[in-house]
Amino acid sequence: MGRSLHIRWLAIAVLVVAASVLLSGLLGVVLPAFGIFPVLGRTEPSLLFLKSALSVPGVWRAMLLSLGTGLLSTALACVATLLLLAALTRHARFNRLLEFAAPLLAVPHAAAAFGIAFVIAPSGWAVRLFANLAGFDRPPDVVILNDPFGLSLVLGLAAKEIPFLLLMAVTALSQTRPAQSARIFSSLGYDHVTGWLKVIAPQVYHRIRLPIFAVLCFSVSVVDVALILGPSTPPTLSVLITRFMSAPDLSERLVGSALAVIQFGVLLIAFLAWLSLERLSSLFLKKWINSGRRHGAQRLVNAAVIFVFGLMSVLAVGIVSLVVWSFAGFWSFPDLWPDQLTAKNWTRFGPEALAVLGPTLAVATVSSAVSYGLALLLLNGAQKFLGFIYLALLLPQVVFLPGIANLMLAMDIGASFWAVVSVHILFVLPYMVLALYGPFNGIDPRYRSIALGLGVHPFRVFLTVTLPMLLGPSLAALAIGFAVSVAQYLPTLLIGAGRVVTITTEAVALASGGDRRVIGLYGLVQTLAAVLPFGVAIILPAVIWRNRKGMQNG
Amino acid sequence: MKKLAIALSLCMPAFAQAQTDPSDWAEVLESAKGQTVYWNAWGGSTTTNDFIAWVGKRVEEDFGVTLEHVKLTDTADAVTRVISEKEAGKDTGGAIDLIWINGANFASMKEAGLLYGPFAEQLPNWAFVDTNGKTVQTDFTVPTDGYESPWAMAQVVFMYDTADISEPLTSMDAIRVWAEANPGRFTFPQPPDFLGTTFLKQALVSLTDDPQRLAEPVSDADYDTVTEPLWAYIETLTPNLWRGGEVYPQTGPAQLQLIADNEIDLAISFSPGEATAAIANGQLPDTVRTSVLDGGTLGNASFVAIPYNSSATEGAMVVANFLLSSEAQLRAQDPAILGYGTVLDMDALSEPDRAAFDALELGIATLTPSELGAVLPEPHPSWMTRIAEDWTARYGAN
Repeated sequence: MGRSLHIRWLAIAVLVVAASVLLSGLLGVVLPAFGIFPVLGRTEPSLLFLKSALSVPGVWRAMLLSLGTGLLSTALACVATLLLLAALTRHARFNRLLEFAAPLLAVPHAAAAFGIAFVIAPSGWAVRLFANLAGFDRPPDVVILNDPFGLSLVLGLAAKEIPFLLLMAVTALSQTRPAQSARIFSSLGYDHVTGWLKVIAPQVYHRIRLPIFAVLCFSVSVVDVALILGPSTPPTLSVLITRFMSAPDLSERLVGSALAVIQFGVLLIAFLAWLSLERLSSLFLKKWINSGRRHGAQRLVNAAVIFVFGLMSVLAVGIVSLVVWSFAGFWSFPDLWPDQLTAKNWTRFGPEALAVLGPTLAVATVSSAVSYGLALLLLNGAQKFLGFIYLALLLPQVVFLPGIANLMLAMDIGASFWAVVSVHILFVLPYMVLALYGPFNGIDPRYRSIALGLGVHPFRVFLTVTLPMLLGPSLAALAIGFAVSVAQYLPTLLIGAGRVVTITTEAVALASGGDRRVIGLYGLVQTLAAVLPFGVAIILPAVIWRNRKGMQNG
Repeated sequence: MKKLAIALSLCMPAFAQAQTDPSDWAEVLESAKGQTVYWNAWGGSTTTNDFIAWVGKRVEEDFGVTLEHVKLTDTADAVTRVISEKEAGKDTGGAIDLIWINGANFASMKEAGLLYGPFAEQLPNWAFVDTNGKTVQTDFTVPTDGYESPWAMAQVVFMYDTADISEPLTSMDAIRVWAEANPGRFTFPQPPDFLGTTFLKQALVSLTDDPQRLAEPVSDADYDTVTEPLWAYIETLTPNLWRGGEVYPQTGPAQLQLIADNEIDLAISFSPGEATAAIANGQLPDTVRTSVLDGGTLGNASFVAIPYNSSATEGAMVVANFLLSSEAQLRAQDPAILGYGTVLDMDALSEPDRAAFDALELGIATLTPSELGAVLPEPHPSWMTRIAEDWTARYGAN
């Protein structure tokens, strides 16, 4: 009893620290939004900047775009994931799917977006193929990328979210006893996909709701993908915010902060919209579930499989194009292949890219290891208050990170490795908790009760019963945490002040130059950095549980 | 707000005194030894990155100064950092020692008292700088007052693909007429991008009857009259732009990719040597050449400035001074490496140095200094901000 009380207080202490850091960052947005910005001599609160934010040209359309693309891509990814699982789970080796999902998940968003862009652009690989057959040498002047409705952005986001949700769903699936359910609904005469969708899908959805919310947050406020694939006249709200936050006239930052507060409102609307969508579709689906129809979902599922397969192919071909670009000399339209392949890009940029891998991996290892410990502590001690840590995923980084940077400066914490690690934890921890929440709570409490009944110390029960049962989800969580840390750009730049350099800070800086050779090369090295732990996460459980049949499905 | 800025800038000498006096160069060199200078500079150009890495190697060899290039996507990130440090009261030991800066960012930082100085005109190599012929003491009409030191000259040129355009287009009107005949083959980076706004400024300067007016700050009284020709021009040009003006490239270098993809045939550049270097790197077809406009094109200087709270002020000055050496300037001007214009006065150089500059090969797509023609001064920075905003309201938010 005493021990669990300690754990509780410790967990609450962690939450308080995390929440106060985040809240101080939040103040760093809210105060300027209401006109308080001492460095420019503004100390009087005013609504002026909120008003001018609302009269920024295109701001309403930007809000709609953020809302629409965020909701649409999340819904698409979510539905596609569930339908895909319905189709694939009957195959005995469907877990191997993850071996394909993992690398796609590990590709950094920006690199994936560049890859997709090169496949679908009017001067991209697909059109080149056609141009060679039809014999034209100028790409058609049509809008595909950056289309005004954000459709290519929606597809790009969905392509990256599906592998993530798939991983989450497979982890959740193992807690729903799918095999038993399948036996029952089959014996009642349901075909596999219909039975799966009616019985198992709702349980899986329920368990991956938090990751879905994270995806929704991310999609509504994403910057890099929106810059590459999204519309630009006007862009989405988050891109608009970064424009204002990087304007040379410092007072524009007040408008930028006001826009960030508006962004927060957009996010809330997105949540409400999602909750209503849930309500609506549950009404509709209940009717379908209760209708007693045993067949009929097959066609929909087939369509979903084709869609996901197509989308993943575009993503995979896009990644292949990055490889080719990293070895390319001059490469013009409509050539399918570069004029010459050269190692020049690798000899010119490779050593530098590999040199920053060291610090990148170090930051990612430490921050995901610490976050893992903290996540377990929070899950054991403070489940009721977990909401606080998701704050970090709710706001656009560009606006509340300066606030955190200020706090660290005020506390005289220099731009060091540890400063960067501690801020990475702020972003890694929520994803970690997301990944572990379902599996942790899905463990049958009877295992623990039995062990406790046998007189084993609670801490030892945790170490010898709970933790081993969490091996698969733990490794998946660590891999995700690692990838999240590798991908952090602004936290590394702002807190590290450029003194802690990672592959991502380098890659983003170089990407602003638009040279596909460098983008390809850095994208590959970035992917490698993030993909390694996924490999470990997939292989280890299989090795460790090779003679434990009950543990082999996740 | 203005008052506060003035008050802040009055505080500046107090900070400057705490560091080595720039005119005591021996002392500067002594203190610089062993320092690490964090140079925050845009990292989007691979050729510039290579050049900065070379500078790092050289200052390490000669002066024992370690140079770290902090690669930014946007100079504003560095400005934000210095603001944050100032807000937090971190007036010494700041994270940034040197910033590649010019124009509006400089004006903002100088006004808010965020820069160290004056130091630039006390640097030993300042003696070789061409202060008469080049705009190295004003930055977009704002006096530098020694708070930033120049290191490269830039001038607007147009890159065009001779495979599609046989004769250079030498006036804004020629560009418009050509675009009408070849719709979808020209575009510019989307304002407020620096280079995109430069295109608007170039059009304004070329089309207005009274370029002198642009040296003064913008005013509501005559803004509409002055910019009327610009908007009339853009109005007829836009429908014939790439993607019908619905999509724009987001940065200058993104245009190179568009030319290589044969999406466009004409693009603006702020570096006369960029095309040559890009051809050498396989980023542009070797059929690309550059041209300027008959009435001259805009030019300005790139500078480096030192934040007021730099932790390696002396090392930063050593780097700024090295950038002004004929060795560094020669390398920067070499089109195979960078192709930036020099800030030095050829007449002030020693005979062998001058000969080395004369011996530089221009490169396949670079114009000679005489072909580059007249350099027009930048308008006051307020014009840049205003027309970028105006453009966004008219074309950037449909």
